[in-house]
Amino acid sequence: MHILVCIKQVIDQEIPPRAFRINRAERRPDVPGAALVMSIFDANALEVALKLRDASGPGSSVTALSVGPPSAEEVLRKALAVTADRAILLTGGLLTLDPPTVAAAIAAAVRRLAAEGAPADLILTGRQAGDWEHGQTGGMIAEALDWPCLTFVSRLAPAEQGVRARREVEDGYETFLARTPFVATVTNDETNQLRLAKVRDVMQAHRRPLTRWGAADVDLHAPMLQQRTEVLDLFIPEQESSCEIIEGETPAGRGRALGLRLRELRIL
Amino acid sequence: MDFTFTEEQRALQQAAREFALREVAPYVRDNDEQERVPRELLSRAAGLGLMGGVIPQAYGGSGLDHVSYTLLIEELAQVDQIFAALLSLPSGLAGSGILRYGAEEQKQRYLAPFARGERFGAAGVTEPGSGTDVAAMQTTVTRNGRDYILNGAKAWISNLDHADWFLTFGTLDRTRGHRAICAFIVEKAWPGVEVHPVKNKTGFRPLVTGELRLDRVRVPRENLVGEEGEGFRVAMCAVENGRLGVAARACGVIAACLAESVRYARERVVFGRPIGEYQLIQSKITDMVVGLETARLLTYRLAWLKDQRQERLRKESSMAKMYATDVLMRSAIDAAQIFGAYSASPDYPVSRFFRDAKFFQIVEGTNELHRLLIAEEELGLQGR
Repeated sequence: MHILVCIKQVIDQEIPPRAFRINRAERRPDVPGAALVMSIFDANALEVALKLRDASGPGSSVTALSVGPPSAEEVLRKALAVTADRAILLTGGLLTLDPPTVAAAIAAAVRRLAAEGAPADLILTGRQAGDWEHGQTGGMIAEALDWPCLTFVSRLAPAEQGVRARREVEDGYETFLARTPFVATVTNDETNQLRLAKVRDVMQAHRRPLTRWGAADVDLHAPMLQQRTEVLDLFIPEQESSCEIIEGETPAGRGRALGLRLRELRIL
Repeated sequence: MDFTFTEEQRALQQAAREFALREVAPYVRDNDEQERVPRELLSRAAGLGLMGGVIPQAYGGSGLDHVSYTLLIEELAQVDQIFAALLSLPSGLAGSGILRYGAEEQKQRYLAPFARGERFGAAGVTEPGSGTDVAAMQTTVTRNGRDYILNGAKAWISNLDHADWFLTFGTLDRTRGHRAICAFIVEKAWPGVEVHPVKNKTGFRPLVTGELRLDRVRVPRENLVGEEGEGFRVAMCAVENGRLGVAARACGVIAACLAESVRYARERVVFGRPIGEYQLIQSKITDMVVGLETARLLTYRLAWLKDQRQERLRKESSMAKMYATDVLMRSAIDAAQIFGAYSASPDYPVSRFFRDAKFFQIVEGTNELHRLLIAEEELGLQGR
């Protein structure tokens, strides 16, 4: 089984709130020097992929794929360090802000892999990215490839006729038997925290070859690369807290005064 | 001059940080209170290759360059400097002497399992009557057929609980000073070998430290490390290589003091303002920032010099160890002052940094000794 995991490099979600700034004019985050890390649900997806590969026996492999700037190579090296078998960076003019564009790029890469004789049987993504949190890319990849999509998957295991998937729902979980190929978006649970890398594997990861593809390499053309969404405004909401004490002699009196005040403020 | 680390080095640093935060941090306080490091935690670290250090892969190690090794040790020390100390033993005090002077069979039998974390070692040079003055050791070595009989006691030996063997030293003839010293690997299970830990230490608590008694212990000839009379050189190699690890650990604890102090100085409000806005606090923060940066420069330069295959780096080892640990002492005092009364509480890591800091200036060569070593080399005087 060939499992493709899509991983995204994002600004470290753990930086203190006071360190996070927005450049409102350019509508983008402005955090120079902040650490760039693997998006957290993507890390869960990678662990799910590795566990599934290890349980599937010889012949199975995991390919990590990232759409991003050259710096995204770091998260791919991290994926190799935890024993992913192959890493692909889709870069060079490919936009990363917009789920439809990213999904188109990934679908194009999947087609190229199939053409090369290494078709993906399963595509995993995190359920949402750690920065923009659209939660749409996985589903859009499935649409582009005309594959089914399972969301909020926490565990996968090989089964006789496909893959057994556990899907988290509000008050418990559902179990599916899914036939490949399909897309799954992954959420966290206690079994899928990304494993720690061995020193030897970290060193090896930096010496292994990394595949780099540009738009032309995966047959992507200008119309497909146009962003479909436009960010109109980006800002950190002002958090105001003020406290108004409602006066009154008795609890009932204070209740009445509260009601009148809420009506004044047009809340009631 | 390129001061940047390679991507690979930064990736190793990141891997060490993740391990430290996930697997070590939750237990630091308990380990300090209970005066132990669980062996299975060490085994887990070893399983990831974190004990392999600079030991070549042919001897079970990770074959890291010294700069990567230093990054790893510093990163772990930011969370738990004792855990970092244990991980540094194969590359430093306990293992380096065997790597340099040991026979092939000794390296395969003792060093390799140690680097892999399967069996553990320790080193015993210091005695109740001789610390700095290594050549004045009183443990005697007597030839007996092909073997040797070792008799005496070693003091302040670390890793007493986990160690299965000890690299230790004795003299064939006290009148001949350092020329008569021999180095041996002694197994803890042999008759006559006893360990007596010191309990309830002030600092370095999770490290089980104490006396190693050798009561007429028979040591087979195969366990002599190097030649007869070469023991002093083995000891010097061991302690010198240990100093890089100590400097790296000190840098880690300074970094932790700084991070904690900055965090607290931003939060703690006095007279309506965070204490970080007051100059007397700012001055202490500055000392820590500059101290950390300069301690790191000396430490990483030492590591870099080792990677350039420079043989004897006695002066540089002393400079890094002495300076980083002196900075640590000042930083720990200042951090405790910043935290005020809270520095007395075991709930705050600053209390542990403060208790540990003093002993950094004493272990692996007192800082007084290092002052002498540096001056002697600079003045061209006869070395020790």
